[in-house]
Amino acid sequence: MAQIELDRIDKLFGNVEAVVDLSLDIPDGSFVALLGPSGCGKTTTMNMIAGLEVPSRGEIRMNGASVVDVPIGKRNVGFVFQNYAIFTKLTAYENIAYGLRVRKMPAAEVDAAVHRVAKLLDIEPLLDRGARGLSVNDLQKVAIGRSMIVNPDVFLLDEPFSNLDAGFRAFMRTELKRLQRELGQTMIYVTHDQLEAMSMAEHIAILDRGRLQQWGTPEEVFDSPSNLFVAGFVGSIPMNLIDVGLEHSGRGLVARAVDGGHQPIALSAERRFATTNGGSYKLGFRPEHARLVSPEDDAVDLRGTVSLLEELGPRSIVHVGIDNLSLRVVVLPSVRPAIGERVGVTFERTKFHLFDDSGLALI
Amino acid sequence: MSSRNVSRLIVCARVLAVAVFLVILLFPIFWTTTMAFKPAEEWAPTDGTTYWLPADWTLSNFIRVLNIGDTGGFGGIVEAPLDATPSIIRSLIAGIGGTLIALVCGTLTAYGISRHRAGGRHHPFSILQMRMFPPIAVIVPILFLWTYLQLFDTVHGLALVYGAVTFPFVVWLMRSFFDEIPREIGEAARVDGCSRMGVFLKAILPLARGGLATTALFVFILNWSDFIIALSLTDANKTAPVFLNEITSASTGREFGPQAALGLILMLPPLVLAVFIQKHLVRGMTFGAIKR
Amino acid sequence: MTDVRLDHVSKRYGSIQALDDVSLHVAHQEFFCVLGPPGAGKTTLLRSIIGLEHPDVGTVEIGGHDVTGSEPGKRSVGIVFQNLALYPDKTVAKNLGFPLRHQSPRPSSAERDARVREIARLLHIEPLLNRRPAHLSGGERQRVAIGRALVRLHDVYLFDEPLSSLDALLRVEMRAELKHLQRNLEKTLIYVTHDHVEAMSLADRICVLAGGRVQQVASPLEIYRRPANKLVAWTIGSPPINLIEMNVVENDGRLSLNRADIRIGSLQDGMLDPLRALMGSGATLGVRPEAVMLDRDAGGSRLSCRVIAVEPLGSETIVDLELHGQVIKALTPPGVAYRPDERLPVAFDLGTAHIFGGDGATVYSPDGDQSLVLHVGSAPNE
Repeated sequence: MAQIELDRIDKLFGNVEAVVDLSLDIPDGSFVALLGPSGCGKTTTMNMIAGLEVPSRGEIRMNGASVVDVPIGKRNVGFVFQNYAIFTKLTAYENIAYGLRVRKMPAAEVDAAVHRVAKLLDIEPLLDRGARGLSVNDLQKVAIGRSMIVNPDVFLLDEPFSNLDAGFRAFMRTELKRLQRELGQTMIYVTHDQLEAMSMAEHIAILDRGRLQQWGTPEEVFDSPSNLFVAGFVGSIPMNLIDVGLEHSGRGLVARAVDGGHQPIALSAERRFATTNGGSYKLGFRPEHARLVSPEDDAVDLRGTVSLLEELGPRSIVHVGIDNLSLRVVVLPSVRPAIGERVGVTFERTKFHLFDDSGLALI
Repeated sequence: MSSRNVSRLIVCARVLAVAVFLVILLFPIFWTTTMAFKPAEEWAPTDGTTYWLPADWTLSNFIRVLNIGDTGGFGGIVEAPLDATPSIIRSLIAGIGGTLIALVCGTLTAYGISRHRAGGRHHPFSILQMRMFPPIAVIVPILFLWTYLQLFDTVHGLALVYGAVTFPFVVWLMRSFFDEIPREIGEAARVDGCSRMGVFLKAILPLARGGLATTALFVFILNWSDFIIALSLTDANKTAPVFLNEITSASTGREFGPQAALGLILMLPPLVLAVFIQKHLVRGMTFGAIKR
Repeated sequence: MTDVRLDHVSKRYGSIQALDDVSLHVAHQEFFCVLGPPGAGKTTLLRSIIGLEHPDVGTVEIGGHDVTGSEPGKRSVGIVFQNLALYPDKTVAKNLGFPLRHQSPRPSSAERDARVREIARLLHIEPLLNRRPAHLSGGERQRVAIGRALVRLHDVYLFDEPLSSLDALLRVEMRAELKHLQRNLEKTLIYVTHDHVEAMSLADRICVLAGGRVQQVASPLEIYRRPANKLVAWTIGSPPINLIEMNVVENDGRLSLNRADIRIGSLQDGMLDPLRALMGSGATLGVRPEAVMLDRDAGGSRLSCRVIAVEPLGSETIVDLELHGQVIKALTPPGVAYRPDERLPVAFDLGTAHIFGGDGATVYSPDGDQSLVLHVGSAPNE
């Protein structure tokens, strides 16, 4: 069990700033995701927590005590890698038992521990099989078992499921979540897939180019992204982002879309904020919170032409082109507009976002 | 003793060990170099003093061994002239020739083994086995064969033997370089329309440049410094190492000074080649071609 | 006319049957996706079409010509490799230009430059022409690989998982670009992926491949609504379809599906005959997560399950439930907070359920419009 604190961490590789001024407070026993595109510093951060890298500046504390000088072997962290790093010549049993045998635990205890872990992961019948004979999915479970068995304080996972097929990945996510709850270990999961992070983590740290963009629960980062990057990154379908100018008029706040003929869009905002009339802002709304309507409808916010239709099964995505802009709208499968058809788009007034020109969220 | 002092002691011991090693390694070069510039009185002192550095730097050894002037004899005695130049040329021809033969044959063979699994599982290793025993073990049969083929005492005959003897090294080294190059690059070239040879020349070989350069240097050094094969297979058409060994005179016996001078001269071609090859030794040649 | 036809193609590597009696016909200018899990044989299939592998049995025809024995460079097929295989020692411009040097008749150097520039413009990589692959980002390298395939005017293009190593965000954006690209190119495109959303979005028709065998070839919607077997149903849909094994039982002339304490009595009419045929053997009920209903929508359902985990995805929430040792996934709208270990009433909307027989083949699929299924709690559009 470990509570982990990163205090203003910097990491430089030569001139490259891999991690900049990162501070995180990871509660004991929580499942945390480090989410971001490749090169954002998430793997570097994980390596620093493990002890594989040393921060250039800043402090790392576990359970209150600084661990910056503690070598990796003494930090009691468990690793699960992307390419499972299994000993191919050993059986599943021997792979899992490895860590305990290295610590010279008596055979009877080792046996009990291996069976306990295998039961937890539902791979007991596979224990005697050689690693060569196991499927990719089972191999990943063995890798998890091997890291689990030594009871690390912290579990570090680096995109462990990216080699598995999609259906199985969904089940492994559930498994991992369940395991973490039962074992109560602090788990840190590195990924670039927002679906994985949202699905499993209690808290997500979103990183971009070495800097922390937002720290929050899945609901928080989805419903209240703190900046443009988070808004665009989180969500299976990217958020629609429109350049607008803002005005205060008698009816409240009005946005004018730069593409789409500066049509006024009335935003009935409950709060007033310091906005400069006419300044450049970005209006964001999620495709799930948008609807297609007839272009003649009064409630239309934006008018455009259908450029693409993606029929995905349970739902479809309509791409609407407006001047230089392309918006996505999620619709039911029965909605099948023709390419080139003129349509109107509206979005829910309780669920939009405004960003100033530096990318920070106002709503 | 505190742990700090112990670790200091360990560091000192390591430095000392390295220093000793370096001295042993570099001493012959030092001695040869200084010897080359010593006059006869210093490389064959009659009073038993050892001259570590030449008291009297001179070029007379070079002049003598290359027959480019008159040294006025040693100790007053005029010696028969020496001219190492033809032997140096022969060394170059045999050395470069042998290297080229080994490189061409060896690289193509290595490619076949690496890419097309030529020779199955056993023959490639048997090529290497060829070189497991020293050439001197087979020098007598080669001597007979060469005599029969009228290749005895010829530069080209020597080049052929050099090529054959270093061929396994080239295969061994180049094969591992070829193994490093991802298979898909060759496939991409085939798909793009290259013939098999085209794939080799245009897609694969450019990527093995570094390996080729290293192998070429290694093989050249082997051939260039060979003594025993040349000794066995030449008579009048000596190569430089053989010539060097035979620099003796009636009065002073082995003429160390001229020998050292020739030795110094012989160090140069490999150095020149190494400098020349530097720019082809590029690391991380295949970065960016393949995604994980 | 450049269609591609595979006829009873099989290929074996040692003890692994990579392709097992595969027969396919890809129509002229079709966007044809081959979808399947890792190891299904998709890459082997592409390699057989382009000629880097030769089938043990069967023929490959392109545009009516039997090309089974011919060289890769001569089949008028371009390929984007899964791992790109760019020439690392050559600049982007030289990478793109390389195939043109081997075209017959060989274009002049001016023609080659023009073509390279045209392709670079199409893929937005013009500013990168003088860089080497080592100095490009993942997305840029991907586009160079695509460009190299497109630079020669082939009849057929093969794309092997071209988006799989891109970040999720970039992948969604590239998907739209690819769709536009294919439409502009007007060429036959065979696209391999393990991502079913990509396949659904891009394909005119999808071929589901698993274990080296063709499972089904049909349009995306057809595959979604009428999967040929359990495997196909499982492959399409995220989260995957819930597959529940049940026994067909008859009581007083009424059929029901039973398992432990679950009894599903109110079956759709269309299900009755197929189920009767399965009586005595097992049946698998396939219920998509969208059709698993909780709380008030479950009404008076007597089935109650324990919540194992809750996965909030933002736009919807996945609730993992335990049903007699099996994990069932339900898709619910966001905002409702369920807690692990809570027990919830659960019901299945059978209007959209599938039934699979003992061998996995589909025995019943619902007719009619999929739109009958409501996203729980949301209002329908138009």
